[in-house]
Amino acid sequence: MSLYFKGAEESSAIAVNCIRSGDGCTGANYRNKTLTTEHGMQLRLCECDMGVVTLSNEVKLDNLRGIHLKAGGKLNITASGDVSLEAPQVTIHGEKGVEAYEGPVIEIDEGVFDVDVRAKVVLSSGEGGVRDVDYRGAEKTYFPAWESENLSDDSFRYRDAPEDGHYDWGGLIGNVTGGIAVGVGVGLCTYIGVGALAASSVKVASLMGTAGVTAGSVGVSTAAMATGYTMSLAISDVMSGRVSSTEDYIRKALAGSVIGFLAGASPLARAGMGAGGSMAVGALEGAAGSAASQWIINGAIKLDQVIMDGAFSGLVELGMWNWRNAVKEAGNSLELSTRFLNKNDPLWKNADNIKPIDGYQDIVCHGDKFSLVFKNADGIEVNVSVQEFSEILKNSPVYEGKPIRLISCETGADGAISAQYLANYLGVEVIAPTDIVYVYPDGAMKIGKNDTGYWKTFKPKEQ
Amino acid sequence: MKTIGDIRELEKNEDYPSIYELINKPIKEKQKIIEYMKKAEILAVAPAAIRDVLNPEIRIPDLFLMGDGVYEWRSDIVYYLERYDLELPEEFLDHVFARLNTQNKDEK
Repeated sequence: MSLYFKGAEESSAIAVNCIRSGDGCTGANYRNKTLTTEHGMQLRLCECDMGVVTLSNEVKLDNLRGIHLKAGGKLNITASGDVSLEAPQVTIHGEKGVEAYEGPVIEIDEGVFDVDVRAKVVLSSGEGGVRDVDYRGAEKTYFPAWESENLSDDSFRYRDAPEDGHYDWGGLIGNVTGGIAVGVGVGLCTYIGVGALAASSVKVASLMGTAGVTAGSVGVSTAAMATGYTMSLAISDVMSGRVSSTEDYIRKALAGSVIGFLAGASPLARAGMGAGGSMAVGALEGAAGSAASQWIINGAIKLDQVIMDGAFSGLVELGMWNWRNAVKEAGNSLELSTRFLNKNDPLWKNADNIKPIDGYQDIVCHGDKFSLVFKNADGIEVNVSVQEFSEILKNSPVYEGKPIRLISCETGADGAISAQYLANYLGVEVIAPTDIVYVYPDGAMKIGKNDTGYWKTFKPKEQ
Repeated sequence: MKTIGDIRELEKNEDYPSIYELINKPIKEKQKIIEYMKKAEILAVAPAAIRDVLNPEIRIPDLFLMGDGVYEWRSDIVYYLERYDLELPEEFLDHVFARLNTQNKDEK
């Protein structure tokens, strides 16, 4: 359609040429009014939108879809005031990365703008040596002002970065103290809890003794790991020039205490296991620790991280099993015979030097005519009846099923019941001392102060 | 080495005197004797679970064979001396005092 003005007045205009109508004619709908030049520039006043359209750019106010801006080249938005975006969700897509600058906008050429950059944050895939920035979760990475390590000039700082000489040492020390206090508190509770468990159950006490685990060792492991985790966060804070929140420190300490507890208690689960079993226990320990610490610190669990940590822990445990096995084979063969003592017992070293005798397995345990006593490293003594001891020994991974030399005072004395009961229960021959047996540092033994006792033999009897 | 502390209830030997005949016999400078006996060398360790024969509800934590090169004794003898004034042989006491005097002279 064309307009012909026969005079200067707008009212003189008349339509000439043709007005298209009918199916198949582009723009035939009278509700969609457009004015298009021969260069493809179009003004639109349409049923659902209005706007300006060129060959490669669009600005449309669309009643159905909202406002649509499309640029074939660069899109610059400049304002002398602030630019604000307010929406339930703002999404920024940058195929090659997203950059945010701080600094005034300057017009470097007619219609061409740039930023006089003071600071810059890049969120990128990492190509070209640009560092990744991930602000999700509790772990944060902070960057100094762009292209400047000189933080003395305030213009090269982030607004919330601490100034030189104003580091919050008091806050850091307070948080570290809090974290350590949490760790020590949890460690103490663990110590009390495990100690009470050991004191209340002979089987637990026996298992702990066999595995070389004590309430003290579990408690110390718990507190030490919590302290380590706390200090790692403190070091990270000092290096980044910031101080994490007290809550972050407490979460870190709790995560460390969980790891420490698992590390301290895991020997119980792998006692007597072979390489495969130890590796499985190690993997479970690592996975459980990873999941628990992630949940405590981040409130979420990444499964791939759990699997990786579990696999790593399993491999480490396999290496440790090989090392322990090598040490044992290298000459600590009496370890099995001394399992029912603890390493702080004055008897421990002497018992290590006892010369084995052919055909018998040495079992060393404090005892008297009627019972045996487990003494753990925490000083807790548990009286064990011979019936309980027989059951424990039968189920213990350290017992090889052989005849026994029971190195336990008076267990073979007149009126004693321990050695005969043990022989009957296990169905093996037991030899036991008739009096107090003294073990010398070189492993030599004397029965009775005046060497008047002897090893009495007890054969299994039908019951 | 000579042994001291041969007591019927401890050694289970009827030939030895009963502990009841030996207690409540205070000695001079008891504390010095106790200190000397406690500081002596541990010769051997016993896997025992022993109790106070006069008060069986009391556990005595460890049992060692101790000695000073001339005499040897069970560590629980010191316990009975400390708690019940157990009588010890005069010869042994003289020996200890002689040793202590020698040590004092050496220190001076």
